[in-house]
Amino acid sequence: MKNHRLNFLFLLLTIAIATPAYTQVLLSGTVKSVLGEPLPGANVIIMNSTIGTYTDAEGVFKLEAPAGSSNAVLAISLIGYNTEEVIIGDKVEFSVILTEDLKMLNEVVVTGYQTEERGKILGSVSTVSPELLTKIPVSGIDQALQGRVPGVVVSQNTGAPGEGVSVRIRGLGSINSSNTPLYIIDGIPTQDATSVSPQDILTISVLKDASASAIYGSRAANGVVLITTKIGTNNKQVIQFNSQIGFQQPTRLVPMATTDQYVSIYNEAVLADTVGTPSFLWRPLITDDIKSGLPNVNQVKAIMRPNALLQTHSLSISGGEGKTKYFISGNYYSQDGIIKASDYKRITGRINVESQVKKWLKTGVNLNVSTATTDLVGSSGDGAGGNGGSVLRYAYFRSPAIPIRSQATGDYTDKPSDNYNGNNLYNNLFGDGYNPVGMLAYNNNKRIADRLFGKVFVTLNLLEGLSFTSNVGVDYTSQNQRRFDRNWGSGNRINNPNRLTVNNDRNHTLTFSNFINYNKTFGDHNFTVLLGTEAIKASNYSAGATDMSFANQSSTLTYLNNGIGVKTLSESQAGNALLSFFGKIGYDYNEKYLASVTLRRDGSSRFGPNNRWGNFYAGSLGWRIDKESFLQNNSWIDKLLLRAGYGVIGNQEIPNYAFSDEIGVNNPYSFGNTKNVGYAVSKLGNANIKWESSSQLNAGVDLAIWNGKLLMSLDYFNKVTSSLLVNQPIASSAGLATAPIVNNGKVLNRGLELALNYSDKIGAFTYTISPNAALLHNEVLSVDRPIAGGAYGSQYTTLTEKGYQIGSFYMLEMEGIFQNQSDIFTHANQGGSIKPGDVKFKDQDGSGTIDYNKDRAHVGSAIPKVTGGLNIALGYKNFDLSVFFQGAYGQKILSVLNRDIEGFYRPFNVTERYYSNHWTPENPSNQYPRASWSASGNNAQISTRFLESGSYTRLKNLQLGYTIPKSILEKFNITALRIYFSGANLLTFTKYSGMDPEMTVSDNSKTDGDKANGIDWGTYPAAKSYNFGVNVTF
Amino acid sequence: MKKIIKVIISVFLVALSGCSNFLEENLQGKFSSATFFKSQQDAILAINGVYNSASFISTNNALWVFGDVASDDATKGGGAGDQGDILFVDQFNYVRSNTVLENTWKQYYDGISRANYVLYYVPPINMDVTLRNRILGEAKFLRAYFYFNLVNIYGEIPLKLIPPFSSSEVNIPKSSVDKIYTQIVTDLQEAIKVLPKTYTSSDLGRVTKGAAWGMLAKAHLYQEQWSDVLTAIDSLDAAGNYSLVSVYKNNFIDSTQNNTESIFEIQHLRGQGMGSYLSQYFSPSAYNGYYFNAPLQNFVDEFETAPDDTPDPRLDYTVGRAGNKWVNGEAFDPSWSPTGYLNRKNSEPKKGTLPIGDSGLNYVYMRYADILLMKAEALNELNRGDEAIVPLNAVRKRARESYLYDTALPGFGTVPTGLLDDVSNGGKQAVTDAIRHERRVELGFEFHRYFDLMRYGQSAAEAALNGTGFNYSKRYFLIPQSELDTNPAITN
Repeated sequence: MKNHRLNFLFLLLTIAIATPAYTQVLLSGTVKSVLGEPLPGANVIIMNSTIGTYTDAEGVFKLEAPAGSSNAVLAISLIGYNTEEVIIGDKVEFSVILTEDLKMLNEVVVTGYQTEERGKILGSVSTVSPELLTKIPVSGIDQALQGRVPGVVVSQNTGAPGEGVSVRIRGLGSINSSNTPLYIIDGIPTQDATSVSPQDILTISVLKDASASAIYGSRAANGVVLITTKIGTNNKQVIQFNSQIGFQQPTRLVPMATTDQYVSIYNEAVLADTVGTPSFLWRPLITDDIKSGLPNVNQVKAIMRPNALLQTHSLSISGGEGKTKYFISGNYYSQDGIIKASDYKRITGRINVESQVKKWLKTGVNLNVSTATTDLVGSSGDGAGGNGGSVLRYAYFRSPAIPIRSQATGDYTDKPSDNYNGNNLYNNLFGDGYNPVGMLAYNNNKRIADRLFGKVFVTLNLLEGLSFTSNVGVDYTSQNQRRFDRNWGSGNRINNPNRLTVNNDRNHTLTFSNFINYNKTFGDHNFTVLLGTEAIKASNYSAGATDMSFANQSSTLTYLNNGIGVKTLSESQAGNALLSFFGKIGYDYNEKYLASVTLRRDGSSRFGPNNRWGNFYAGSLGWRIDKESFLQNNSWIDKLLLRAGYGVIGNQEIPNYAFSDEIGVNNPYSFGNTKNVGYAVSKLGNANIKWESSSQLNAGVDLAIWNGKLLMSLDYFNKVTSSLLVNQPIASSAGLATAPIVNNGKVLNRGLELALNYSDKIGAFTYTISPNAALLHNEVLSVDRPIAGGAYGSQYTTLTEKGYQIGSFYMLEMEGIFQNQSDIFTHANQGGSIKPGDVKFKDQDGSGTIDYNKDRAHVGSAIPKVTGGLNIALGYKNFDLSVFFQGAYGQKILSVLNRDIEGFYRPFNVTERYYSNHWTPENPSNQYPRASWSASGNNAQISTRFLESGSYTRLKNLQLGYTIPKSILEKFNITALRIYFSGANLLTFTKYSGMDPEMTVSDNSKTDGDKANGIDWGTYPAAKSYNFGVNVTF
Repeated sequence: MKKIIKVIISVFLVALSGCSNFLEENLQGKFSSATFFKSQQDAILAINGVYNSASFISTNNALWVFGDVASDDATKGGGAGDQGDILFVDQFNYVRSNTVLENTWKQYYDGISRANYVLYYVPPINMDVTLRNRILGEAKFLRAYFYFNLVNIYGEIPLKLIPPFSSSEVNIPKSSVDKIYTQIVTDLQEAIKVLPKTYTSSDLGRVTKGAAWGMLAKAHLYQEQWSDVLTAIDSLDAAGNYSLVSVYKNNFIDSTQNNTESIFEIQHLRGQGMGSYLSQYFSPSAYNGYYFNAPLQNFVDEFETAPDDTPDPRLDYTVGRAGNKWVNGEAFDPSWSPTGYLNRKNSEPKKGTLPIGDSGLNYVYMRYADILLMKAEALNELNRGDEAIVPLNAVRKRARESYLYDTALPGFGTVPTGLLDDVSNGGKQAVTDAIRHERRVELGFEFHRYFDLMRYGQSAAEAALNGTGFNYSKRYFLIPQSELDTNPAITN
C-alpha cells in the first residue's frame, strides 16, 4: 500500500516538474510524540506562506507545496509542544517527532485584542493551566483561581451554594464596592464570569499591572482576567465526558453550651444582676422544677444536612472538518447546601464554531447559555443587606432548652412559651429568637437566572501581517426571583401579614469592538500595532410586585393577586454606556530589547457631562538578557527577561446616575383618614463625580533554567489609586437619604509576587512543585475626612484613615478583665457600674477616663498581608496524586457572632468555651468576662474582645487518580479513561474560633464594599467534600 | 481589498460619530430634584413627605423613650434583655452609639432635611400662591417641631436650614440652645402668618394656625418667657374653637380623635403603610406586643383618690393594672409586665387578625388641656395665682366629670365626693406644685414628662430620677457616635 502511494507521489512530482503552470509537490508525513503516539491536530505550515494543514487522527498530514520549495522550511507546531522546523530540501515524506514544551516559553498568551508570545510580554501576566481549574469541585471559574496566581486573592462571600465570590488582584485599590476585576470572555467584557463552566476553558490569563491591562483602560484598575474557551482541532473528533459526585460536610461547627450549662450560667447571671438594681429589673430564676423537663437540642446540627450531595457532569464534542472547527458542550452542576433549603443547580451549554471561509476571511460564533436556580436562605449578615439574617446566627443563639417542635401543638416552636400554654415566663428564661429549623422549613425564596453570553466575530486578513477584527458581543440575563414570607409562629407573629415579592429583571449589554492588528518586521526590528474602538451599552430593566395577606399559604396558591392585602408595583430602568479608543505599539529589536506603549481614551455615562472622558496610558521596557551573546552559550539559562512598566488606568465602577439625586415615593401620610402619597429625597447626588485613576509601576523578572525544569517569575509593584470613588457615610444629621458617592482619598498597594515551578522526573516518577506567594502592603496615603464603614447596628467598626489600611478595624482595645476592686480603682475610669469580672479597656489617650469616642484605636484589617498557594503533583506510571494548599496570613476577623453568643446581652445560648472559661471569683479569667446582662453595655461593646486573627492554611484539594492503561481501553474504543478520588477543604489550620476564616464577606457589606470586610455574622461556612470522579475521552 | 478597507474606515467613523449622544444616559423611572419640585402637585407631595417623618410609622421615632422611659413615670419594661439600649437610656448608663439615641437623631434630622428641601425648592414653583404659602408654613412648623424635640433631647445641636447639597451644608458645628430656640420661634411666627385656621375634611390633620400658636406658646414656656406664653395662648384661643372634650379617653380612641381638644395630632392609618408601631411596642406579649414603657408604682401613686378610694378616672385611662380591664375589655393580668402595669394611651384594641404593629391610633402631641396647664403655669409665674387656678381647675373639672359623661366608667352618674376638687390659690409655690402634679397625671404617657422635669430645674429633676445614673449635667443626651464619626465640625 505504502509503495503504491509513493509511486503515485513520484508520478505527481514528475507531472509537476513537467508542467510549470501546475508545479506542485505533494509532501506527506507523520507527527508523533517522543513516546511514539501519533499527534493529531498539529499545524503543519510552510513558513512565510499561507500553505498549511493539520495532522489527522493518525497524526498524518498531506500538503501540496509549490515547486521550488526546497529551500523553504516546514514548521510543525502543536499547543503544548515545541515547534519543530524542518528544511524541505528534496524530501517528500517526513517523520516528525515533537518534544513536549515543558517550559511553555513560546506559549502564546491572550493579552487583550491580540495574542503575544510569552517571551515578549512585558507586563505582569499570569496564566493558569486549565487542568488545575477543574480539579476542585467548584461552580465557577473565579473560585477555581484561588491560590493559583500570586497576588490574586479569592474568597467566597459565603459558603452558600450559588453565592458570589470576591476576587481581588493586587490588593484593594478602591474603597467603593467594586474591586472586582474585569473578565474578558472570548473578547467580550463582563463583571460576572460565573456562568462559564470551568470544563469549557482553554486558557486563562490574569493581567495584573498597568502595562498589561491599560489596553482595557477605564475598567482595568482592578486587573483583568482573560478567558478563552475551547475550540476543536481539525480532523480530530473528540468526545469527552467528565463526571464527579461527592458528599459535603461542614468544615467546623462552634461547640455550644448544653441545656444544663445554659441553665447554670443563666441563673448565675440572674443572681449577679439582682445586686443593686430595683426589683422590677430582676429576672426570674430557672428553678429545678422547670429545669427537670427541659430538652437539650443542638440547634446548629438541626439545620444541617448530614451528607449534602454535590455533583457535576459535563459532556463535550469537539472537532473540525476542512475549514471549520467546533466545540459543543453541556454541563450540569448541582450542589445541595450543607444547610437545609439552600441549593444551587445550573445547566450550561456552549457552542463555539469558527470557519476560515476564505483565505482572507475568518468568522465564528461563541455562545454560552446557562440557567441557574438558587434556593436562597439568609446566609450572612443580620438582615440589613435585605436577604434575611444568617440562619446560622439564629441557630447559634437559640437556647438548647427549646424543642424544635412544640410538645403541645406539634408545630415548630416559635416562642418558648408555645410549649407552656403561652406562659410569658418561659420567653424571659429562654429568649424569643426565631426557630431556625422552622425558618428553613418555611423558607421560600427562589431565584432563576437565565443567561446568554457570546459573540459573533469576523476577522479579515487584509495584507500579510495586517488583520481587522470586528466583535459583536451580547450578554443577556433574565432573572426571576420569588420570595414568599410565610406567616407563622406564636399568635402568627412572624411575617404578619404574609407577603409575596416577585421581581423580574432583564439586563443586557451589547459590546461592539473593532480593531486592527498589524505585525511587521524590518530586519531585526519587529513591530506590532493595535488600533481600535469599543462601544458598550448596558441596560437593566426590572419590574416587581408584592402582594400580601394570602388566606391560603400553600405554594400552589401563593401567586400575585391571590392576596387580599395591599399590593405594590415597581418598575425601573437604568442604563450606562462606555465609549473607548485605544492603541498599542509593541517593538522589539531581535527579540532582545523590547518596548511597548499603550493609550486609551474612555468616555463613561456614569459621570456628569464635564467629567466623562478620561485618558489612560502605559509604557514598558524589557530586556531578554539570555539573548545576549555573553549568555548565548551557557547551558543552563533558557530565558531571562527583565521588564518594567508604568501606567495610569481608570475606574468607573460606581452605580449609574451617581451624579443625580433621587426622590423616593414611599413616604405617605394620612390626612382625613385617607392615604396621601408623599415624596422625599432618598439618595443624594454628586454632580462633580469623576474618574478614579490608578498609577501603577511594575518591575519583574522571568527566569527559566535547566531546560525549563525551574521556572520563576518575580514581580514588584507599586500602585497608587487616587480620587477614590467612595460611598462615604455623611453626617447622620443630613438625614436618612443615601450618602452620595464622592472622590476622596489616595491609596497605596505595594507588593511582591513570586511564582515558582519545578518539574522533574526520577525514572517513572514525575513530580512538579509549584509554590506561589504574594506580599501586600495596603495603606491610605491621604483622605479628606476618615471614612467610617462596617456598620454594626448604628456603630461603625472600621475607619479608613491616613496611614492605615482600607477598612482598618477601629475600636476599643480590650486589656483584660478587672480582677478586683483595686484593679478597677487604679485603672482609667470606665464608668460607675464596673465590677470585677468586667472587660477592661485601654486608655489610648491617657486621659484617665475611657471614652468610646477618644479611646478607639486601629487594630488591624481584613486585608491579608501574605497570601500563597502550593501545588504538588506527583505521577507514577498510571497513578497521579496532587495536593494543593492555600493560605492567607495577617488579616483580622471581627466576629460579631461571638458578640451574640459570648456577649451575654440577651438570653441567648453561649459557646461551650465561654461557659467553661468565663470569669468568676474562683476562675479569674483574663479573657472571658463575667456572666451578666446588665454589664453587657460595657462587656459586649465592639472591641478587640471580638477581634481575632484570621490567618489560615487550608488543604484545598487532595486528589488521587488512576489512568486506565490504553491496552484495556482499546477494546472498548475509548481513547482515555481516568478515575479519581478527591477531597476538598479536608484540613484547615487556623486559630480563628469561628466556623470558617475564609467566609467573611457578608450581606451587610454589599452596600459598604471592602471597607466592611472581615466581619463574621455567622456566615455560611465552606463545606468539606469527598468526591469521586471519572474523565473519559472517546 | 480596497473596498474592505473602505468598509473598515467607515465602521470606525460611525463609531466616532455616534459618540456625541452615545454617552447620554438619563435617570429613568425615578424623579430627581431636576425633574421634581416643578408643579403644584409636586409641592403637595413634598410637604406630605415631611409629615411622614413626624409619624411613628418608623421605629426610629423613639420620642417615648426620652419622654417617658427616661423619666420617673416608666421603665423600659419588655422582655429581659429585649432592646437593652432602652434600658441603658432609662438608667443613664448609655454609650453614644446607643441605637435609641442614633435612630431618633437620624429620624428627626431627616424630617428637617425634608422640610429644608420644601423650603428651598417650593418658592419658585409657579402655583396657587395661597397654597404655596400654606405649604411653606407647614414646612416651617414641622421644622420647628423637629428642632424643638431635638434641642430638648440633645441640647446643643447643628442648625441646618439648607438641604444637604454639599459638605458645607452637611458638616455644620453645634449651635447653642438659645440659637436653636430663636430659629424655632422665627419659623413658628412665619408659619402663623400663612397657616389656615381650619382645613376641609380631606386635609384634616395638617397643621393649623392654632397649632403654630400652641407650639409657639410651648417654645416660650420652655424659655420661661411667661408673658409671651400668654400672648400666644390668647392668639390660639382667637384662632380656633378649642375646648376640652367631655370624655378624657376620647383623646386616645381612634374613632374620636381629631376632636376639639386636638391641637397638633400625628396621624396614623392602619393597613396601608401608615400605621403606628407604638401599639405593638406597648401591648402585652399575649397579643404579640413587646410591653415596653411600663409605668412605675411612683407614677400610679401620683393619682389622687376620693376619700372612698375611688381613683382619679385618668389613672385607669392611662394605666393597665390588676383589677381593671385592658383595652379589649379583658381582665388585665399584672404578670404581663415586670412592674405590674402597662400604659394604654397608645395601645389599640386588637382588630381581628390584623397585625398589632400597624395601628391606626394617632399620637396627640398637643391638646387643649396642655394649653390650659401652660397658661396656668405662665400666670402663676407672673404672680397671677388667682387667674392661674382657673385653667388648672378647668382641667380637673373635666377629669372628675368623666363620671358624668363616660357611661362605661364604674360608678357612672355622680362625681365621687372629694375627688379632684378645685384647687385654691395657696400661694405661688403651692400652685406651682399643683400644676406640676396636674401635668404629670393629665399628660401621663404622652411623652412629655422627662422634658417637663428638666425645665423644672436641677433639684426637681435629680429628685425625680434618684436611683438612676442621672445627674443634671446629663439632662441633655449625648450626640450620637455616628455624627461624631462623620461630621468633622463636631467633636463632642
